[in-house]
Amino acid sequence: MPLMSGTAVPEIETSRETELESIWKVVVLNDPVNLMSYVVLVFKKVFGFNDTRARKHMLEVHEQGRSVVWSGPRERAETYAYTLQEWHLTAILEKDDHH
Amino acid sequence: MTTIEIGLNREVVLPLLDILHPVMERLEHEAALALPVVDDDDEELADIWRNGLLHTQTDDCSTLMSLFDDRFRESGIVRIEVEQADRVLRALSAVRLKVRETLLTHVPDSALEGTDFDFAGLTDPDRTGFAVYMLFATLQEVIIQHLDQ
Repeated sequence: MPLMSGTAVPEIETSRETELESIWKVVVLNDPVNLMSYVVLVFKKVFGFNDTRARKHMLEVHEQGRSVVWSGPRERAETYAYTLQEWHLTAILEKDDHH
Repeated sequence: MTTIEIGLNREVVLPLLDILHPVMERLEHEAALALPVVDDDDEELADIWRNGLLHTQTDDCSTLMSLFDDRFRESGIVRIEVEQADRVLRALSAVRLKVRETLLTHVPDSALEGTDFDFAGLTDPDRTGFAVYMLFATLQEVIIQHLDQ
C-alpha cells in the first residue's frame, strides 16, 4: 500500500507539470457597453500594444465577438486575465490544444 | 502635476448623480462583470480573484465619486489628476456596466451599440438611466482623448 501511493505521487506531479507547461490563450469577449476607444486604451496599457495592433484586436472583438490577445504559460495568462477583468473587459482562458 | 478639467452642466448632472446611489451601493458588493471561471476546482483562487477585483473596484468608484465634491457643486468643473485617470476610467466602465444591468434592462444590446437609437421611445426611468450611461461615456471619451494627446 505505501509503495502504491508512493508511485502515484509522481504521476500527479507529472500531470500538474504538463498542465503548467501547456500554452493558454487569453481571449477577450465582446460586450455592448465598453467603448471602442476604451478597449483600445486597455490593450495598450495591459499588453503594451501599439495603436495599430490594439485597434486590430479591438475590431476583432467588436466584429467577431472575440480576440485572442495573448498566449503563453498559464500563470501569466491568469495574470493578464485578472488585469483585464480589473478593467472590466470580459476575459477568459482557453487551453491551446495545438501545443 | 497635470490636471484634466471638464466643465459640466450642474443642473443636469446633479440629479443624475442622485439616481446613481443604488448603483454605487451595489458596486461595493458586486463585481461589475460576472467573474470568469479561472479553475473549476480551485475555489480558493476564485475567492482571491473575487476579493481582489472587488477591492480595486471599490477604490476606483470612491475616486470617481470624489470628483463630484463640493467644489464641483459650486463650479460645475470636474478636476482629474492624470495620476487618477486610470482609476476614474475603470470606475466609469464599472458604473456603465451596472447601469446597463440595473437601469437599462429594457434596452437591447443592439440599441446600445448602434447609432439609430430611439431615445424618445424610452420610458422616463429608462431615459434617466440612459442619460447617466451617455454622460459617463462622454467623460470616458474626453479623458481618453486627453491621454492620447
